Amino acid sequence: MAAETTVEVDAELYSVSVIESAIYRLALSLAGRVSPAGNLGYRVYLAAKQADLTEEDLQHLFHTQLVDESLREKVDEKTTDLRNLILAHAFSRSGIIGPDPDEQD
Amino acid sequence: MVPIPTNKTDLVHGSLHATGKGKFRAYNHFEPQRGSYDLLPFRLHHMPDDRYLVSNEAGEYVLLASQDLKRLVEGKLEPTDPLYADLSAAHFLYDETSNSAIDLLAVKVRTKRDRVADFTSLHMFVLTLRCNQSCPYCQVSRQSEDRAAFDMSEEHIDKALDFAFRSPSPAIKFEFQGGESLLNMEGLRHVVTGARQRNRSAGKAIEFVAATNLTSLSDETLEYFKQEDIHVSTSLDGPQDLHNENRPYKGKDAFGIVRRNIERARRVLGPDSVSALMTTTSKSLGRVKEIIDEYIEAGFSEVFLRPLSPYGFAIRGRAFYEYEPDEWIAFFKEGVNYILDLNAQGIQFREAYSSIILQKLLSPSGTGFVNLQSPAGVGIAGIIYNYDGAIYGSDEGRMLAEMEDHAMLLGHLDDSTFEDVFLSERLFAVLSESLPESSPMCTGCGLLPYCGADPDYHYAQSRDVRGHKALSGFCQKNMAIIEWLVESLDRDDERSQILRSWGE
Repeated sequence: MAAETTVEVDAELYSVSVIESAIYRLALSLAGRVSPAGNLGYRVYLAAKQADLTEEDLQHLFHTQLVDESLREKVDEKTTDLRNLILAHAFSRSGIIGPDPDEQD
Repeated sequence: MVPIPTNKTDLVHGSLHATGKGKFRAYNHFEPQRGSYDLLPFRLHHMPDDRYLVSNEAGEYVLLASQDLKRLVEGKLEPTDPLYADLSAAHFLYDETSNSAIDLLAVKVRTKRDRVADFTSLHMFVLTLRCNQSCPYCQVSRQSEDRAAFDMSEEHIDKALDFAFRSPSPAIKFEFQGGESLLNMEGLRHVVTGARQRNRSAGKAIEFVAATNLTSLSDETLEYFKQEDIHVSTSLDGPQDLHNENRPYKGKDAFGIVRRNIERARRVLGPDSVSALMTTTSKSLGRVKEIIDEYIEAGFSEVFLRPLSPYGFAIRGRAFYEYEPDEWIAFFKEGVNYILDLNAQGIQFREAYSSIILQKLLSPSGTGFVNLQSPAGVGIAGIIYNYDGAIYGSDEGRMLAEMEDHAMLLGHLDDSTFEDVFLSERLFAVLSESLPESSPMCTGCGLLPYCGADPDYHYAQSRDVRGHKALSGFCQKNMAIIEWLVESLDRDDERSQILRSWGE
C-alpha cells in the first residue's frame, strides 16, 4: 500500500500558493490536498504515487519543496516590477511593442 | 530600493572627499554598506547536488549553496564577500555603485531574444507525402509511391513562396520535406526557381536544404544541387543492421545505399553541405557508441542524439512507448561521455543537442532551435506548408494532422492571407498559453532560459499545449540534460573545456 501522511503548515511561514506550487511540482511523486486548519494554518494530506516512497520521504520531499517555493515567492515579490521594467526596456526599441492604439488618435 | 544619488552629499562617503578638497572619491565610497543592495529578478533550480542554479532573464547563471542563496534573498550578503562581486557582475543584485545594471541587463535580454522580432526564418515545404521506405517510427503517415494526390501543386508552391517572402526575417531557409522529398523533383525545382526570382528584389539571404533518405539520388539531381547550392540532410541511424531494421527499403540494403550516396553527395557538394540525423529507437539503446563510431566512420563531425517524438507511426506502432525518458537520458549521457573521451584522444567530434544547450548556457546570443525557445518556435521560428496546401506552425503540427488531429492547423494556402495566419487567434493562443514564463512550474524554474515550450509535444501527450511539466517527458529529459551539462561545466577539468568549446 502506498505511503500517506498529513503535514501541518504554519500560515505565518508559508502561503497557500507556496503550498500549492510545492504539490504541483511534486506531482510525479505524490498527490496532495490542502485544507484549512483553524487559525494555525493549513493541513496538507500527501499520498505517494510511487511504491518505494515512505512517509518520511513524503515529508522530506514536501518540506524541501516548500522552502524552494517560498524562496521563489520572496524573489518574485521583490523583483516582479523590476522584471517588467527590464522586459519593457529590452523590447522598447525592437519594434515588437507598438504604440498604444489609444494614443495614436 | 537603492536610491539613485541625487546630490553631492549623497555621493560623498570617503574621508578625502568629506573635506571637499579631493579630486577623487575615496576607495570606501565604492564599497556598498551592508544590506544596501536590491535584488534583480532571477529564477532558481534545486540541483541534484543540493546547490541552486540561479539564472537571470538574460540566461546568466551562478551555482549557489543553499545558505548563500538564503543570504542573498534576505539581503544579508556582505560587500566584502567575494560572492557579492560575482553576483553584482552577473546582474543578480545591484547597489548604488551599479546604476547601469538595469540598462545592461535589458540590452542582454534584447540580444538573447532578438530573433523574435525577425520572424519567420524557416519555411518547410512538404513536396510530397510519398515515400519509398517504411520506417516503423515514421512520424508522418507515409503513402505509397504512387504519384497521385500526394504531391504539392505548383499553385500551392507559388502561394507558399509569397508567404515566405512576406516574413520580416532577413534570412530565409527553405527546407524540402516529405515523404521522400526527391520523389517530387519538379516541385523542388519550382520552389528554387521561384525563390531565386522573388529574391532579386527581396535581397534576403536564402538557403536551401533537402531532407532526403538519399535512396533515389541521381547524378542529375546532384549536379542540380551543386548548381543551386542546395544542402542535403539525410538519416543515418547507426550501424548496418540497426539502420536497416529502423529504415526498411524494399528488402534492400538501405544502409549501404545511404552510405554510398553520402560519399557521392559529399564529393560533389563539399563536406559541409551534407549532414545526417539519427532517431533513437529501443533497438538503439545500448548501442550509442556504435552509432557514434558509424558517424565518425561516415566522415561527420557531429551527431544529434534524438529521441522519438510522439507522432505518426511512432504512436500507432507503439515504438514511442518502447523506452522511458530515463532510458533515453542514460543513452544520451553515455553517448556524450564517449564523445568527450574521443575528443580527449584528439578526435574532433560533438553532439548537436548538447551544443545547442551549451550555447544557451554560455553565449550572449539565442539559438534558432525551434523546440527550445520561448515563446515557442511555432509559426514564428518555422512554418510548414503541407503537400495539400494546409499551413502548420511546425513539422510536428502537420504530423498531428496526419493522425486526424488538426488542432495546430493555422490556415490554408487556398484561402488564407499572411495576416490571417500570423495574426490568427489560434497562433496567438498556442504561443501565449504555452509561454514558459507564465506556465506553472516553468515560471520560477532556473532552467527556463535554456529550455523551451514545445506546445506540439505537450498537446500530443496531454491535449494541452502547456502540459503538466511535473509529468512531462520533455521536461524530464531537458531538466536532466541541462543539470548534467551544468555540473560537467562546473568541474573545470579537461572535459568541461571541451564542452565549453561546443558552446562557443
